[in-house]
Amino acid sequence: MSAHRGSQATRRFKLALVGNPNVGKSVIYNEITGGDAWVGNWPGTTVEKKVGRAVIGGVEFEVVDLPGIYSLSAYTLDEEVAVRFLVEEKPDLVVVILNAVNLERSLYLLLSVLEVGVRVVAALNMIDLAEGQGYKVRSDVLEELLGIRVIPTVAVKGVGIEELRKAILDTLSEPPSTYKVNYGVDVERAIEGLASKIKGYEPAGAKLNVRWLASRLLEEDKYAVELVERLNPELLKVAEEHRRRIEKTLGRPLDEYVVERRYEEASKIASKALIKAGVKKLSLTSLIDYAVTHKVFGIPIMLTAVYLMFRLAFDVATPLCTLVDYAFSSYLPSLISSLPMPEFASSLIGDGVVAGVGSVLIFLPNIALLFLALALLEDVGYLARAAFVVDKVMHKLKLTGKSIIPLLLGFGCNIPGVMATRAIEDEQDRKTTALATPMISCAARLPVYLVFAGALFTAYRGSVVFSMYLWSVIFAALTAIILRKALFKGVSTGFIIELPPYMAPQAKSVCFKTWLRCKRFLLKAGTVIVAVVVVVWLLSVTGPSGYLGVGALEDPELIEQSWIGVVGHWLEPIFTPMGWDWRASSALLVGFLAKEAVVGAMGVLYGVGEEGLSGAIASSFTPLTAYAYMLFVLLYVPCVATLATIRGEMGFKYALLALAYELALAYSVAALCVGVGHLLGVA
Amino acid sequence: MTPLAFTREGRLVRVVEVRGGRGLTRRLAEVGFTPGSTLRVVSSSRGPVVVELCYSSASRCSSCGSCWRLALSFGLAMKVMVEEVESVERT
Ligand SMILES: Nc1nc2c(ncn2[C@@H]2O[C@H](COP(=O)(O)OP(=O)(O)O)[C@@H](O)[C@H]2O)c(=O)[nH]1
Ligand SMILES: [Mg+2]
Repeated sequence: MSAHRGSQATRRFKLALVGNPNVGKSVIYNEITGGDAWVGNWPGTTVEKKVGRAVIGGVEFEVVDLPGIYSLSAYTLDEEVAVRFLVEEKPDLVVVILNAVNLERSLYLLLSVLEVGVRVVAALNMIDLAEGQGYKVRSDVLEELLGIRVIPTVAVKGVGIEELRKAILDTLSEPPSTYKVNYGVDVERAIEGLASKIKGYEPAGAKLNVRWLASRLLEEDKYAVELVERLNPELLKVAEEHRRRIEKTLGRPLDEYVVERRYEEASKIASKALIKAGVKKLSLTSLIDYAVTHKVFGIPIMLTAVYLMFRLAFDVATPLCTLVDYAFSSYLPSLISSLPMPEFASSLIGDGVVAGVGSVLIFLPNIALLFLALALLEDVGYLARAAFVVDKVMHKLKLTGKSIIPLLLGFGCNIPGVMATRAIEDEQDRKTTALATPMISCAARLPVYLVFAGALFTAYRGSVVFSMYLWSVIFAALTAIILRKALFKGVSTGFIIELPPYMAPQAKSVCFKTWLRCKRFLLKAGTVIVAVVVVVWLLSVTGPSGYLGVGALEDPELIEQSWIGVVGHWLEPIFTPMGWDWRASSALLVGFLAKEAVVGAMGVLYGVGEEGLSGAIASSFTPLTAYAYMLFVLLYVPCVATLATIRGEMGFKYALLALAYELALAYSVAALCVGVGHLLGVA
Repeated sequence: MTPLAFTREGRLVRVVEVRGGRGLTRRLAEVGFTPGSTLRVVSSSRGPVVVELCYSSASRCSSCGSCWRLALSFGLAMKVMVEEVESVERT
C-alpha cells in the first residue's frame, strides 16, 4: 500500500457507504459530501447509484452511496450491486453505518463487510434513540472486539461527524481488515482447502480475498459462484464435494448454518457492547402501531392520511399555482412582447420557451407539496405501515404494498411515480407497478376534465371529474391484473418491510428529500416538456406551405393550414366514430406530447382563447362524446416525458409496449363508451 | 407447529424452521428469523403479519420498546414455522 501514501496529495480515494435500510446513510452521505451528488443507475440495473465528492483534511474522496442492504449475499439486486462494488472496485475505505437501536442486525452486515477484507470505519448511528429507549452501546467495546474504529453519531444533529471524518483519514493508512468469523473446525478446514485451490487459479495481480471467496462458494452464493466459474469451473465441483461432506456431518444445509454462525457472532458482540440502563414501560410505537395496523381501522386511517396529504398538496398549492400562472401567462409574455425584437423571435420566446417553462412550473407547487407530505409521512415512520396496511388490497390487484408509493406520487405527476418503483425489490412487481402508474390521473390531466365538465355537465361537474379519478384507479388495477396474467407471470417473492420506530420528523431530512425529488422532476420534465412545447409551437406556425407567421396562433383559419391542423385532419377519420372533429384530434396530438397543453391548444384551434373555450366545446361536443374524450385523455399515454422515464427505467421495449397498450386501451374504452351510450339512447 | 401466518396477535412464538428454498431461508435468517429466535406477533389477520424481534438474543423480551418490527407478506409468513412459547421470560 505504499503507493497510497506516496501520492496521497494527488490521488482520489474511493470511499463507500454501507448500511441497512433506514440507518441514516443518506444523512451521513450528505454530511460528508455536503450534498454533492451525481445520481444515476448502476450499470444494467435500475438500482440507484449516488456518487459525490468530499475533501477531508486536504485529501480528496469519491464517495459512493451503496444501496441499503441487510447482507452481502447477492440475493437481491441491491445486495449484488453492493458486493460487486466491494470486490471489483476495491474501495480504499468502507464506512459501515450501524444502527444503535438494532445493533445485532447491523453487526451482521458489518461482519460480512469485514470478511471481504477491506478497510472499515463504523459509524454507530442513532445513539440518541437508543438512549431514549434506555440503552447504551459502548463503542469502545466494539472497537476492541472488531479491531476497527467505531464512532458514535447522531447524524441528523451532526453529532460525531467530525470524529468520523478524522477516523476515516486515520484509517486510510491502516492495513485492511483481517477479521475472521470462526465457522467451526469442519467448515474452516474446507474453506482452507478450497482457498488454496482457488489461489492456484488466481490471475496475477487480481488480489482476490481467497478465504472470503472460498467461504462464499461453500454457501453457494450466486456472485461467488459466478466469479469462481470464470477462474475455473472445476472449482465448483470441488466446492460441491466439500459442501456435501459437511452437510452430512451437520445434518442441515450449509448456508443456513453459516448464516447462523455469523448471526451468533453478531449477537455475542452486541450483548457485550450493550448496557441496559432503565427500561421504558410503555412503548409509543406499540400503541400507535396497534391502531394504524389494525384490521378494521388500518385502512380508514390510511385513507384519512392520504386525503389530508392531497388536501395539503392541492389547497395550499392553489395560490402558488395562480402566482406561477400569472407570471408565465401574463407578466412575462407582455414583458417579452414589449421588447424590441422581430415578431418571430418574440413569439418563439414568449409562446414557445416561456410557455413551456411555465407549463412545467405550474405543477411544481402541487408536486412539491405532495413530495413534502410524503417525505413527512416517510420520516415519521408511517409510510412503511401504509405499505403494510394496503398490501392485502394490493395483493388482490396483483401488486404489493410497496406499490402504493409510486401510485400515490403518480397523482401528482407520473414521472416521479415511475421513478419511485425503484424501491420495489421484486422485479415482476416493479415492472407491473411502473406500467400501471401511467393510468393514474396526474395533475396535468385535471385542467382538461375541468374544462369539459364545466362546459357540458354543469350540474354534475364535481361528480364527473371525480369519476375520472375513479376510472383512473380502476384502469390502473386492471392494467396490473392484465400484465400479471400475460407478461409478468411469476409469483411475487413476497416482501419484508422494516417498520422503523416512530419519530419526530427532522426538518433537514424532510426538506432534503423533497428537494431531491423536485430537482429530479424538474430536470426530467423540464427538459422534455420545454422541448415539446417549443416543437408544438413550431408545428403551429409552419405547415406544408411553409412558414405561416405567428398569427396562426390566434387565427383558426390559419392554424388549419399548419402541421398541427393538417395532421388533425388526417387523424379525424380515426376519431369519427367518437364524434370528434379535426380540432379535437389536433388537440390530442398536442396532448400526446404534454397533457397540460390540451386546453391551451383547443383554445387556439377553436379560435376562442381559453376564456371562450367552454362555449366552443359545448357546441362541438355532446355530453357523451365529451365524456369519451375525457376518458381518452385519461388513458392515452400520459406524456412523452413519462414514456422517456419508462424507457430509462425499463428499456425501449417496455416504453413501446406502454405506448401501444395505452393507445389501444384509450381508443377501445372511448369507442365503447360512445357505443354503449348510443345503445342506451344517451346523446 | 404452525405457520407464522396463522398465529394470533400478542402471542410470543419461537421459530422452529423456515421452509423455503435456500435463498429464501437465508434471506429470512438475515433479518432475524433463525431457528430458535423468539418473536412477538404484533398484528396478524390472515394477511401480512407484523412481528417484533428484540435485539438482545440472550434475553428476548417483549415490552422493552426497543425491539424492531418487521412486516412479512402472507406468503413469507406461511413459510416460517413457529411454536408458541409458554413461559414468557420478562426482562
Ligand atoms: N433520531 C435520529 N434519527 C436519525 C438519525 N440519523 C438519521 N435519522 C433519521 O432516520 C431516517 C432515515 O434516514 P436516511 O438517511 O434516509 O436513511 P437511509 O435509508 O439509510 O438512507 C430519517 O428520517 C432521518 O432523519 C439519528 O442519528 N438519530
Ligand atoms: Mg437513503
